Amino acid sequence: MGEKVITARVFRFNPQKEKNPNYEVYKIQTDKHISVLNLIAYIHQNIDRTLAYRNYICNVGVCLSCLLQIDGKNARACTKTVNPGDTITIEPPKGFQVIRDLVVDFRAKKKA
Amino acid sequence: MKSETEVLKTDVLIIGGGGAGCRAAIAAAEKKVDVLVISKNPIARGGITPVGFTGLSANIGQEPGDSSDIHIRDTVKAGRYLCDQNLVEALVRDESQAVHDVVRYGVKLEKEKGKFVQRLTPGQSYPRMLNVIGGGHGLVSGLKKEVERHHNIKIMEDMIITKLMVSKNGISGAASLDLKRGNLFIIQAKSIVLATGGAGQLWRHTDCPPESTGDGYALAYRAGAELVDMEQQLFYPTVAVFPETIVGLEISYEWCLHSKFGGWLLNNKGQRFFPPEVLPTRDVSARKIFEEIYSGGGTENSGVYLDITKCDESRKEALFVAGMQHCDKRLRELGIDLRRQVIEVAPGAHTTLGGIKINERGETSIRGLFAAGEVSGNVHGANRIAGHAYLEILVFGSIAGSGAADFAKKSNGNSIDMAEVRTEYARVYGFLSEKKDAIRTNEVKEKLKRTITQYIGPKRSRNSLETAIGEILRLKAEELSRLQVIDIKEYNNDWIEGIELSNMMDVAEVAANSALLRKESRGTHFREDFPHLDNKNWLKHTLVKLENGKLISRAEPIIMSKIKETEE
Repeated sequence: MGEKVITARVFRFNPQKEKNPNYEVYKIQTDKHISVLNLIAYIHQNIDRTLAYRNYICNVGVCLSCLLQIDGKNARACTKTVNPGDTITIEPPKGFQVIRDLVVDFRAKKKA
Repeated sequence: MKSETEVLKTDVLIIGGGGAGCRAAIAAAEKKVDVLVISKNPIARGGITPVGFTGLSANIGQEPGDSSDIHIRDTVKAGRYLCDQNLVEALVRDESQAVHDVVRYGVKLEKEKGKFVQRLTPGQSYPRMLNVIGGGHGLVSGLKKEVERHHNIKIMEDMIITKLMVSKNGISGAASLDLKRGNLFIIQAKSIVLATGGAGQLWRHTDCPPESTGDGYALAYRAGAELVDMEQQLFYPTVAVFPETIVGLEISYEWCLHSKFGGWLLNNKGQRFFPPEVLPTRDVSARKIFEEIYSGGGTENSGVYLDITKCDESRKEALFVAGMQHCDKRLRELGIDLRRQVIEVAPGAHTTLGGIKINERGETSIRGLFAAGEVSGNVHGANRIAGHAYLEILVFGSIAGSGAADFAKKSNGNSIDMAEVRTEYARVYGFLSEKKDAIRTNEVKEKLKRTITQYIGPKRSRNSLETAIGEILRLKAEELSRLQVIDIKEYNNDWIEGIELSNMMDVAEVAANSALLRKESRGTHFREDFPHLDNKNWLKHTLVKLENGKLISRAEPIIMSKIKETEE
């Protein structure tokens, strides 16, 4: 995609198989200013087919399907953007049970 | 693989958790039957309904002079006379009730001085467009709340239906893959409502969400149901192609380019080429813009410029108050201000107008199988008026849900064929098994989308369609069985894409064959080799079904129960 690099540190966890989560680091060459959701889609499309995420966008910014923790804060991945050169940490949204990686069960609230 | 098959029983199974599915579930539940809703994504965090910005069009008796007859005429005329008029009559008969129902569920509509605000949009003789607060998401959220008030509705999310089960007496159930755990199970249902939306994702440029892969068409087709007018794919005239962050966003041309506000489309030479004095309906607008791009007037992103920066300030502000609030809010969140910035747009796949053939009771050609919303065909014909999608999901969702409940009450259910179940297990888990000459899902998907975009785009010909069919059949025969999906059971996007891709191939094959059969140009379907409307020979539907493993296509006259004459 380009010369510069976006570094994404992404939460990986399969509660059915693993005891603890870990983080995988992806380096994406790009010179584009893109949304975090598009960044994740790019990783899944081109780098790592095993990454699980909710591949949905309402295009209006209201459905919260892409709610994730971005650098420690719950945010909409469709709206939060990254620039070439940035480093970000992407984790599942706070407060819900993880199904796998970035996918949570929005109907299963986790006890604090 | 499991040795014992898990079987879940319900009276009515609703497939799809968007607006049509939710409305069908409510109607069925009101008849005191057990209802199960299966949704690929969580309700209101999935489906196509949340994507719309505003728009529920209906005559609710507020506008002096408006009438059911005029609304029927507008719809049929805008649909280029391809609508089955018994369906349009049902749509208009129940329109007021549909609006009052959602208001009762808690959906908010814009009001002024105690009256609902209604605006005029292309193709309508009277102002009928109601502004839903919160757009499509507001609508489906209201429906979701009402669904959750019914204790006889069970909701299962993150599930994909992979097959409809049919016995010789009609529908018997469905196979469902639980995406959270990766286990396939069987649902035995007395009746089923398909409400899975459209197939916008078949084309490269679209404003439809990633899950709009036409699953319902493929499920119904493989079960032997008849599909109608699948050549009719509406392209929304102005979907963003640049900047990168807003790609796929529907920029309402109905508002931005309205003469009251004064926006323009410009080609790469900076010439204003659209709109003409009176803003055309979507089919005509999309074709005009496509022509400009095809004839060399497009930008490097294959779009054209949308410019409202030069409109005077008072008109701009009126525009953003009128119908563009949600869109403007979204654009500004992404750092774009249309008041000061020119963006690039192109027509994008929007509504699949064709679909499963239904009658005015929402019944398909399979006993016990109903369909509602975008997945059904023959309601809008060859073009759809703004705001009629939400009207359709509400009216026909209710009709189909209620019909499915009545059907279930009279039925003892049909038995599930276990041999069919075993074949489906082998197919679904087969995606995960190791292959020789393996190919990646996204590679094949890319090839399919390229073929569809290039050869079954808004401009078709016998040549292009035959090329498309050849390539689709080749992909089905040579590459589908070699798809190598990552072997993970728990929420596996690659597996979802593999299943969706097998659906997309069937939908594309049906669409291409329908387009090949229709030897004329009508509405959204434009044949280079038959560039004219042909009312003498083609006031007909194209129908496609699978019979003994073979695709059969035929034409059949449309139902003209109300308006017998065409104007063109």
